Amino acid sequence: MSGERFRTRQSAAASLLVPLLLIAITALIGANGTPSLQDTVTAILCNLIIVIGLQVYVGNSGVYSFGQLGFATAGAYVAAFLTLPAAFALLQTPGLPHFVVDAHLGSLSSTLIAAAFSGLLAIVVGLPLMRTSTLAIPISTFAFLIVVYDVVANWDRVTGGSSGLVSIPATTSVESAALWAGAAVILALAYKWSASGYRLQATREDEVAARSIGVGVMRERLIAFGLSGALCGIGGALAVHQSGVLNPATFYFGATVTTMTMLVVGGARSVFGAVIGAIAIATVNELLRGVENGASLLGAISIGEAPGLAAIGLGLILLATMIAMPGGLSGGREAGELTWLQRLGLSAPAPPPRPGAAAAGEPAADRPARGALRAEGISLAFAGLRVLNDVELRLDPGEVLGLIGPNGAGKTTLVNVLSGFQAPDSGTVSLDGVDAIGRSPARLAHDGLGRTFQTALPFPDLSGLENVAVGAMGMGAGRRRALAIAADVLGRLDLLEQARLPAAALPAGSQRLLGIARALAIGPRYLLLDEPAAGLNEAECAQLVAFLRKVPSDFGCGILLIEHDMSIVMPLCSRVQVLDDGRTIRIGTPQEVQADPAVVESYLGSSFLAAVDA
Amino acid sequence: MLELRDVRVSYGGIEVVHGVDLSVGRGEVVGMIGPNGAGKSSILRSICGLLRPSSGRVAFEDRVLTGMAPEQIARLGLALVPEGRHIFKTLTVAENLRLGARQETGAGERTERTLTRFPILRERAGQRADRLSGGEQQQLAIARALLGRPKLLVLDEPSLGLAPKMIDVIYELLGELREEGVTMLLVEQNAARTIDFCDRCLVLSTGRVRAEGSRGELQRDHDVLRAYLGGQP
Repeated sequence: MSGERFRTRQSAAASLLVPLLLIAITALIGANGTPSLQDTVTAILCNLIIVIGLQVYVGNSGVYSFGQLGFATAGAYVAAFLTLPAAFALLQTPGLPHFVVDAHLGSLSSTLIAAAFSGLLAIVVGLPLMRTSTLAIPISTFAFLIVVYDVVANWDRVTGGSSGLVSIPATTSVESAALWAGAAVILALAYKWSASGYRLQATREDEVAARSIGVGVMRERLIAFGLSGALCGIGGALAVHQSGVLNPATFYFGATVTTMTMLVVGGARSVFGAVIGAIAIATVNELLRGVENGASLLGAISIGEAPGLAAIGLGLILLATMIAMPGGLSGGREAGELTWLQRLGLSAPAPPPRPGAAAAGEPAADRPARGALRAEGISLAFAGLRVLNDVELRLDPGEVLGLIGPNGAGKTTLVNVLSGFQAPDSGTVSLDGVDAIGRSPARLAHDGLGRTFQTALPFPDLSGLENVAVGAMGMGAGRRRALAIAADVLGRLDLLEQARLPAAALPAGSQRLLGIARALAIGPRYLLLDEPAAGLNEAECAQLVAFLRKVPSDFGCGILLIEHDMSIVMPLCSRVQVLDDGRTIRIGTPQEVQADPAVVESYLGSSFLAAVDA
Repeated sequence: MLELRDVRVSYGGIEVVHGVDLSVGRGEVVGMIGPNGAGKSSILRSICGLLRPSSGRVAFEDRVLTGMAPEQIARLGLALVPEGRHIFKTLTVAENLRLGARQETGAGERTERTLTRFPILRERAGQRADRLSGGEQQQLAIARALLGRPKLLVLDEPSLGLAPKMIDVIYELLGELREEGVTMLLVEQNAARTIDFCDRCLVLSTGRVRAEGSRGELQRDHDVLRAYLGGQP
């Protein structure tokens, strides 16, 4: 099979080596060229680092930021301050503190300090900005970019103001830029493949589902924002040590548009995309600029000056890519995930890991087996319409409680209240004796509450295995352990083979089972399942019943089961609670409930009775 | 009326439907059943233009649909009631229906007739669609599709997520439509109910048609059903 997302040692190596090789080739071309070509290639490599920095945040979070070049500006000025010769510093930046002027650092240490400064700045700026909504972040980061420009352009005594700085030591060579670019690739991939990186990608794929498995969206975005800021700072620092001059507009609108174009054209979701986008666009840009200045084509036809040609050309390339290849040149994949590379045998996916027996049920085992999930007096109205009316519920670990009732009875709303997605108007919810009202869904997941949704809400672009592993990572498990837990749960559901594919490619029923596996991977003590059997046929339902029957003992967790299919509810549940119109109308054994005339009337329908009798 | 010839569907290089033939005649009710991943939804999606088959031919009343946009196909008279209903949630019931009727002459009269058939929708006409219960939403989705005066009604799991009693209501309604001669293509999980309801059924598994036959034929052919569906139909 091809197109698999199952990362193996071999495909990971390909994903790492291919971009490094591209950087090495680019550097070699530059190092052996004319001094002007050397300069061009060095500038391209510095820019590449900034594009990788952008990728770390934008690609993994799926949220656009237009402020990252502000961190490049910060890094560039810090690096310039630390290396300016004293005589020039006195002239250009009289307001700088002495310890900075006297630092006279080398290129390596000044770059490292620039990275630390930009990274810290990104954390400080990100603390408020990352709290804003997914739609507000692009705008608020853009505002940050403008603020940075205004500060450096007007703080004359320190930054040299709008005229900028000159005579900064030009120490960045093709080789050093290439080494830093390689390091940036390694760092970006290590982050993307870390548990934290996966958690952030999960928020990109589906924010609601990510919260349900304990992922703090703001926290993960902040981590990537900081790392991205540091990488952009490195790019800025190296660039200023290449050109030797710096002004407030060096990394402003123009650079923001160019680097964003590079990322989008290459494919924002992968580091590989960032690398090929940066190199390809820079190359095209250089060629167009050559024509712009009136070069001759193939030595035969000479073209006059064509101002603005490069900008127009880049715009057209961006437009064409967004229409024809929405995922960018890389399709958003790392090199090792490319189908043709896998076909060549360079990146053959290995068989999925064997389920490790050790991982089974471990998360639940170390918790005391007492307490319960309780709700009392829950009432809730939407726009005057009463959805829940004084509802009580108790779920013990180790039991399976059925929750049935007509469509619109309030079952899903009750699950939303229990899992923290919806605050009730009145009533209490407690988890193992501790008040749970007001706790976020992510926090409740950490406290042992797992849930699934009526629609499967998979993380479509992650493999099935990664979908489930992220559940364990949401709880803080490392990558290796999370993958072992995921393989174990998927093995029990007979889904391991399918789990090699991206979740989007799986049939609807399998996506639903994936959701159950993902909720189990957090090691919950209470699992709330919202119609887990919808979209499964009879045989698959029977398989699901057999699996769910073992969940309380194998995973040490109780199940609240919303389901319309009585052939699932009846054999699994020890108790069944019936909701109708926001009220509990009956709690009892499956047999008692099935025989209750009120339940038959409002929910099961008379044809059900006829079928049971037959 | 609807004709599929050797239709193949692939996702990212992986073929999931391996050459399926299917035909639906005027006034016929045809069902597709089969386990998860059999390719039922992929086939429906390629009929409605939501997915482009990698090869093969889809024709509706002798017009080739392959390569047409979903909205063009809908205008030809092929209406999909999608899985999960996909109603316009923040609009009212009446607005949903108005969108289904488009801007044609006689739309008002047809809306009136539809509301008579779905009395619950008349009752809820001014409410936001997402305030309806699941069964009511399903009725709205079917009503919206009918208002476009489709020649062929394509239903993807109309009973999904519905209470047992509500499934009976929906099937009663589909039964009435069948009596009126509406042509239907139906995908369902519940094999017994589907075989019972449809004139003819296709049993699919792993992207191939494994059996095909009328109600009587399939009910006699228990071995085939058990082999591909696994349950006891």
